[in-house]
Amino acid sequence: MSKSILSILIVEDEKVLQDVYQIILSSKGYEVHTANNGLEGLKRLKALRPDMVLLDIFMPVMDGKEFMRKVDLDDYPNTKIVVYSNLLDSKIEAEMLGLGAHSFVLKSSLAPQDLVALVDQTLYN
Amino acid sequence: MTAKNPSNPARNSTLNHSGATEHNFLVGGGEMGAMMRSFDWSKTAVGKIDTWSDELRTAVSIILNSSSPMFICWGKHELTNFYNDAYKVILGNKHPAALGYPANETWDEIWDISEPLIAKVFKAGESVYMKNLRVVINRHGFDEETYFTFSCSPLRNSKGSVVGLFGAVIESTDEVLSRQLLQESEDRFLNLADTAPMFIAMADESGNAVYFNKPWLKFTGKKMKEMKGLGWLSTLHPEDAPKFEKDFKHAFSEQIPIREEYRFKRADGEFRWMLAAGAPRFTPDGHFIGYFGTYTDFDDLKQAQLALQQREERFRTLIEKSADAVQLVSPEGDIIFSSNSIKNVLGYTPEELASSGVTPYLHPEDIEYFFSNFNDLIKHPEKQLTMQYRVKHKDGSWAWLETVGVNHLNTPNIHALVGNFRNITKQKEAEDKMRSSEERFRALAENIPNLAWMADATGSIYWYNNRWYEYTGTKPKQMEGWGWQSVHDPKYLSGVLKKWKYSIKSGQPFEMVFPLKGTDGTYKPFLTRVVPLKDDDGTIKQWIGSNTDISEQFKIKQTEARNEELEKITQQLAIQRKELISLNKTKDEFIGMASHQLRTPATAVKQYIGLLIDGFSDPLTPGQTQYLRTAYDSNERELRIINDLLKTAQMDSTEYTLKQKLYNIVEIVTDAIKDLHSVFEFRNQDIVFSKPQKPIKVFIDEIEIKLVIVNLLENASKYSSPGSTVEIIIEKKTKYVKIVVVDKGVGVSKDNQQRIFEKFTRVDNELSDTVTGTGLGLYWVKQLVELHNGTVELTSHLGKGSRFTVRLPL
Repeated sequence: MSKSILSILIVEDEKVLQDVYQIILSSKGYEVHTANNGLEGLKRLKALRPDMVLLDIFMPVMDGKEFMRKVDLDDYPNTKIVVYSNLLDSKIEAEMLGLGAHSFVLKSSLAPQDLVALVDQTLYN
Repeated sequence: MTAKNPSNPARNSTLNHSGATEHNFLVGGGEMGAMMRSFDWSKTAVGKIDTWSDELRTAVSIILNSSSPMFICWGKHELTNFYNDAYKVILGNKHPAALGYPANETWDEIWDISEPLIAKVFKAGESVYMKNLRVVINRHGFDEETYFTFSCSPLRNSKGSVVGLFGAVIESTDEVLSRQLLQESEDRFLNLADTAPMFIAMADESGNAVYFNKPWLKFTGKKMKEMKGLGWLSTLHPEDAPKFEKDFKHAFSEQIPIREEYRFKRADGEFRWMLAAGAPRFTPDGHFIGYFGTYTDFDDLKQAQLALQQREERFRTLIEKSADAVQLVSPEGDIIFSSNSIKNVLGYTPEELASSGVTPYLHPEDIEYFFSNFNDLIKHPEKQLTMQYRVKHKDGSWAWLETVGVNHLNTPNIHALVGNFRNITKQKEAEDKMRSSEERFRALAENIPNLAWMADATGSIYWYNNRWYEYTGTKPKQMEGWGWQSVHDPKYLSGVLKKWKYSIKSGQPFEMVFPLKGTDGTYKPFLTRVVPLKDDDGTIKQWIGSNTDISEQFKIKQTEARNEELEKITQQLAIQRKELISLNKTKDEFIGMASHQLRTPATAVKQYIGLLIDGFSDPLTPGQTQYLRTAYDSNERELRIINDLLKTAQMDSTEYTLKQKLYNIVEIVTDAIKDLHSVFEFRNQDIVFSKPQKPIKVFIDEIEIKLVIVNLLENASKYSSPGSTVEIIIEKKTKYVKIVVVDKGVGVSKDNQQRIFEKFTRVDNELSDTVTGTGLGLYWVKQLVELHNGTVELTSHLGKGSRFTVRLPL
């Protein structure tokens, strides 16, 4: 795949955060899509096949854990899933990494520049 | 005087009648006989010889014919002296004047003593006997102390009246005085003997002890009469008795000096080694009269001597039976020398090993390990290191060797690497076996409903299953070793301890029912069984214990009502306990969720403000940027507080676990200092760290210990004035590593030194207004260090600075 513009899917139920992440990442030239919960996220993943997914854990309808259990990662070899949450719990972190997440980040630790750095690193390394 | 001598005409006529033969009774009688014959008796009280009565004549004739000193005092009042040759010696210069002279005048100087005796003879008609009577007489021109033994008997006439006194006397002056001298000398000897710094004893010629000096008696605590004869042999060590008897018999038959060592029992029951030296005693004429013995307590010396002997023997045995072998190896890896004992270790003779180097024998997996150590050793003169690796035994098996290698390349006369080898295969196998069996046991013990634990041979408990912690609600660090006593009912504890200690001492299994306190604070009866785990030679390696809840079976005989009441309370408590547990769980979940929910809006604030500051939108004026920066920082602080609260809540929950591995603490400290670079730079402070050359590996959770160090350093910086210096020191001790953080800051008063380790404690001081914090940093330090089974200590003086010392076990 040789896409010139890399795409990111943000699965996040908090509208204020969706918006700000979209502003920040778009300004850095990424193609940003959003989904409000895990179920929507699965649908958009299938349709868009993005390069990266930013996945929240606590969401209504379907949460991040369920999303990870449902998704068949073999179908998306070029998609990296970064889980981020404001719940810092080593058990959940281990579980998500075990389910195939690329990395786990504490949301509140990310300033805008940190978010950019995280995405750059994930996609270009 | 003469007037007192009435002549008896009748007698006179008789005497006269006898003529020349009348003086026959004076014939012979030596010098005194002659003297009496020529003596002019007419001037004496007895008158001329012709007038003497028959009784007087007989008596005089008796004394003159005796070779023993004898005398006569004639006449109750006159006391006229008669004496024989032998008596002259006693008289000294009183002779010859005494003859025919009154005794009271001759013996004027002792008359006060003599008179009552003489009176007794004359008046009472009794005989008098005196032995060694002491009198001071003057017979050689001076007062002389003399002693006499004598008997005086009355001489009677035909009517039975006492008319004279007959005395037989022996002078005993020499005998008495020489005996006195002897006594004095003996007293002097005994006195000397009693103060001598050694034990002295004497035996007579037949071997009976006749004397012990005071030190001897004091040593044995016995009385002289108990010791005399053969009594003292009760203090001889039974093991030494046969030798003593033999030596004793030999000495007494040969009468030669002896010098031997025996043990004797001291008053306190302890046997002490004594050096006995005996010398035979002889009278001046060479007659054997026994032994004189001295005994010297040299027990301390003897013990040292015995210990030395034992050590030498042990050392010799060690060399002969050594399981160790020694090799000298050149830097090129050639074997220069192997000790013969190499055969014990690897089965090869030194000759078999001499040709090839080490390499062909090494286990392929250990070659790299071996040579990295070997090369390291070569590079460092005097260095010593210990390696464990596998080597092919002559029998084809792989043997584990433990080698202590020392670099003696620069050592005169050696110039080689010296290796000391020991075959530790068995030990390794046992360790593996032990480890795997212990792991299997632990896995099993985690799946049983009983409480279970393991203790080392000394009874110190080092592992409990989770059921134990669940039931008692304790943490591992509280339970370590003998910490379990805190969940025992104090009423029964001493009994439990006594029995448990007995088991440890005797190796007997332990079985007992006693109550244990659960999380809810109530006691339940448990049947506790502990069995020792022994190795092949019967040495106890471990103890394995289980506690089984038998509250169901263990019905105390009480009234029904009481039982019911108890049951009700128990049920209530059980419900409360459930509620508490679920409440506790809810609390943990609540804190987790609350922190999540609190973070989310703060995260949004952070992103949006960050968006503006970082220039993702239209440019701002410097004033606007400044305001937003302040808002951003305040939000950051809130996020940090949320994090801190969450971490504290997690730390307080029993589920908090460490991810421990062996980490190099030097590196962790270096990282922490790097992280805090800007903090110290901000306050223009220096941080001094004398970094140890070698890594120090400690079994720790890297993140948590770094947090501990960061917190201590950050505190040191915060509470020191700008420009000051903070020092951090790492020291490796045998059992722990010590990390010390020293500042010259505001310090902590005595009253606050304990308090600052408590949750949310912030102590007021001159800098506290300018310093932010939640008061959790030192609480974490203490909690985290203690979770590592370490300790943290503070010494501080107000205004002078603080010194925090963390010790982590190695």
